Amino acid sequence: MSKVFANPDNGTDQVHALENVSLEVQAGEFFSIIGPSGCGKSTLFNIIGGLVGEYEGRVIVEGAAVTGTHPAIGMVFQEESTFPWRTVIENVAFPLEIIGVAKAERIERARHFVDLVGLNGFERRYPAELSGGMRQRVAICRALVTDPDILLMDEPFSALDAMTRDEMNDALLDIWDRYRKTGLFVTHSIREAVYLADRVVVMTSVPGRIKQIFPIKLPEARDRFAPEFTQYESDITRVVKEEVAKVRE
Amino acid sequence: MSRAAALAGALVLWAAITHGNRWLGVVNPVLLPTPLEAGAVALELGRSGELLRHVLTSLGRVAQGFGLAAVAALGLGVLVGLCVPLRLMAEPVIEFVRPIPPLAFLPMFLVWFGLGEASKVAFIGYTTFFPMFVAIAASVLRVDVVLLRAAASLGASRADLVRRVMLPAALPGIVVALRVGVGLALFVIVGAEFMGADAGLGYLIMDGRMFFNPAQIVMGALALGLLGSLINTLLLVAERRLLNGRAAS
Repeated sequence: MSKVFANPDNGTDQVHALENVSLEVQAGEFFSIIGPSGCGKSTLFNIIGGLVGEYEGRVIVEGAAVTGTHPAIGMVFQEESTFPWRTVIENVAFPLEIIGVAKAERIERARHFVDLVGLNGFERRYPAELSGGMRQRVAICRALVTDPDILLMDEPFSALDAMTRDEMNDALLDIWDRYRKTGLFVTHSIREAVYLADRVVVMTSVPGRIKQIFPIKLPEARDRFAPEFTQYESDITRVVKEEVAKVRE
Repeated sequence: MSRAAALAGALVLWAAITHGNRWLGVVNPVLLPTPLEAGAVALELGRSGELLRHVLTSLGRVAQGFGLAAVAALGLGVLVGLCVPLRLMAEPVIEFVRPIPPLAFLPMFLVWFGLGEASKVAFIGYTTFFPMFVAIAASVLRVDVVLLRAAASLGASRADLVRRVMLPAALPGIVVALRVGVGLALFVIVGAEFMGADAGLGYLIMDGRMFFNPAQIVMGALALGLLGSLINTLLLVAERRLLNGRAAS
């Protein structure tokens, strides 16, 4: 079954951010995208999320072409995206407010996700009172609260320190255990990609094309120090380095 | 506590200079009224209810002029912040008009609106409008685009984006703009009341000049200072209430 199919050929201006990128992601699959800086990963992310208007190609979700934002797709951004004037619970309930869910129900539904990511006790705190990792948990909850089938994540943990990052990876896997979403995860970290994903796609430098796809055939609970794990890491690193070297030339 | 000490210190310094002058006979003592003399004028005018009338007259004019300007600056500032062609049209005109000292136009306001209330209210409105308008438009423009993209991805319509993201995100800037506007209104009320007024603190000061009563001039100026800092304190409290939480960190 085809879940997401994108063939965007971004031809705005002279910069070809993406060229002939075609991906097919299975339902329930965790798919990670890796590539050198400026390879168009974020452009791809924004196109699939419906935030970029002009591109060539199509985004197909569950057999139907979609344009613009779509309720089946939730997004988590690299940058700070929680609303600073809303408390944790109000942030998470925001999408429910937009679609007109009654207050009592939206608080209840939001609280469920807040508990799920271990933010109970912080419901009435403002983002400024939380750590970066906690704020990103809020952003994830906010994207999940309307129960989208697909979660797009653009380097969501890149601003966090390594320890928090590993913690957040496990938190994400917990969510995946409970709610089988389809995940598209853009990252710079090969280790993170191998830890989380069923498949890792490496993109070329500008214009972004698909260089190679690595299926990660490791058990669900992964050990970052297992030889198989580090083997994947070094295989992917080698391919990524070729592309980084091209940028330097 | 240190605040009170600083104020008391300034008072002592004032008394020392004026009484010292009286002792040493450097300049005519009438030219340097002592705190007691200014206090005596305040007491006399306060007892007759005269002082209250002047304060209320000035405050009424400030409230009307500032109120009208605030409504206009909010509406137009948000509009210009949202609409690019409008901004491109407004910018050069504003950049030209803004540096002209408002006092340069005061005679025009007297010509247009006569010597009555209208000219004073209009003048305060005109003076406070531009800085508030420019600051409000800028704070709307400065809203983090990631917040808008996040909200859009969560299903927010254009109206939702303006009402639920843009305005609350710009609120801290808007509040500061309004506070600056009030301060400015208090600043120019004196000038507006110098000409063709029969009440108000500006009139009281002018009256002091006319009848050569420096103590009354000083008292009027101090009353303005007291009023200004009182209003500013109130506004700061209101601001903290309004923006609770988000500044905390």
